[in-house]
Amino acid sequence: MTAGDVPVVIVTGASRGLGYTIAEKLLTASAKVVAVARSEAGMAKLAEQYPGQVEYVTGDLGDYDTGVKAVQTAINKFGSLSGIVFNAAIISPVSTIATTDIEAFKKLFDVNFFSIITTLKAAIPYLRESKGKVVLVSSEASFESHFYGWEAYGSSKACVNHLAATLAGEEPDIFAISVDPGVMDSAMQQEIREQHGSQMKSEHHEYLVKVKEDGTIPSTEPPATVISNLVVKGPMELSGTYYAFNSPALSPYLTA
Amino acid sequence: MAPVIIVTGASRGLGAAIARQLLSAPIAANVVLVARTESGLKSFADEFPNQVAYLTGDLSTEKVNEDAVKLAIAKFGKLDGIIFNAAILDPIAKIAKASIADWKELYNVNFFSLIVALKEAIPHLQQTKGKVVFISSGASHHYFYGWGAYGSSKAATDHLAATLAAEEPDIFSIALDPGVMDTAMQDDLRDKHGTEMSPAEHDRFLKLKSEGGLSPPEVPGNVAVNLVLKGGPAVNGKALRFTAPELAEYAK
Repeated sequence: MTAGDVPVVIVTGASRGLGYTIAEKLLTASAKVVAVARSEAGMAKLAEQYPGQVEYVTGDLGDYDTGVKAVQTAINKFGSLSGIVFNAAIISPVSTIATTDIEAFKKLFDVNFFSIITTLKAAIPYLRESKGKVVLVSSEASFESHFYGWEAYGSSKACVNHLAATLAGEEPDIFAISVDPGVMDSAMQQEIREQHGSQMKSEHHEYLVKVKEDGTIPSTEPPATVISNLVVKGPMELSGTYYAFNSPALSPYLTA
Repeated sequence: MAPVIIVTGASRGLGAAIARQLLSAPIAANVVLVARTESGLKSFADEFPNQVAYLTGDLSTEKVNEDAVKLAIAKFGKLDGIIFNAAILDPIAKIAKASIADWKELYNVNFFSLIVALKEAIPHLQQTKGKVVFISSGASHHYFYGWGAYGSSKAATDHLAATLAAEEPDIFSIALDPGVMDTAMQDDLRDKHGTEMSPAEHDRFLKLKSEGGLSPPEVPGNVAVNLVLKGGPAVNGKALRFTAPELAEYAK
């Protein structure tokens, strides 16, 4: 991709929360976005606000065709693919290993991990051509075991981190990074507060409730800024790494 | 009373080395052995009468995992530990060529089976203050070209070991990297998978074999056995290589 080319970026989970904010920032910077989510409303709103810049695919990423369709849409409608933000994820099932629902656990892996691989397989030929960039949204839960009850989500994010490093090693022309966006005021956090408290360590749940109630819960804006910058200009020196969005290594990308 | 330990992938390689050490004096454990092929398991049963119950089946199926725990309770009345050793390496292939069906099959054996078995086992392990050893791999945090499926499944395994320790204060849990050993998995790596790995990596594994750099499985096996019998709080929940200084007391 030469300087001056308009970025064409797939953003999954783009109908709300972090994904919506990422899509907005890309669109404000004149990028083209292929949005993917289960619910249409938020994506239709972006399409309306940024005419000519948005295409969207409504579907569940657990159905692997959804991600493949997103790649095809980018190529068919915008002529190229320069980046993907793998943001969509589900948190449920939240439960201890002793009581988990194995089918729900596997379904989480379909959305949070396996669908990334199937989408990448379709996308890699185009990303090689454009020297494209892939940002995988991860989580502190990928390595912190105090997230009692979060084994399904946390282990899927450990796999995401590993995938970023493997992708970077296998594809020298593609930038890949795994980014922890931290706790944010999002629909996922709302679900955690309202539905999953009984299966979590009480201190963990209480903390998440508290930061929402006292208004200190961070916004999606700063991590969205970092991620939208990385998917357009992430440097190869950082390819294959995992960082929290606010770590020193990513500070150049914290400003729009 | 003799400890009761489940060992998966016990028909050959590291699993067989572990089973042999558990069964022999001075430990003389009662073991439940699980593998896809019967012959190795049956040999143990013949050699150590009354100490072995075994199950032939594919750990990718949930029922085999549940049945292994049920067999331990039915035959020996309790469960003191599990060594989750069984794993598959296939597919070795770049993400660009991934067969998702193959990746998911690997995950069924290497990771989801662990959850299924643990669900069944945890109530019994709580009673005996039992111990769980997950055989992991350096691939969980080194990124070998073509190893995305196996390596990520081991990253998930390391994560599981930590969460299990955090959720179950009465159960000891550890992920153990046994290093590169002279086993059938390594044979497959050298012989079948060369073209899907980077040439440099493939050469490294060929050299390890030709220059005698592969461990006999008994050496990391000994560490795994000591951990499943007496793993202590200092290493609970951790992911460690068998040669790590923190594991020195378990290498004796």
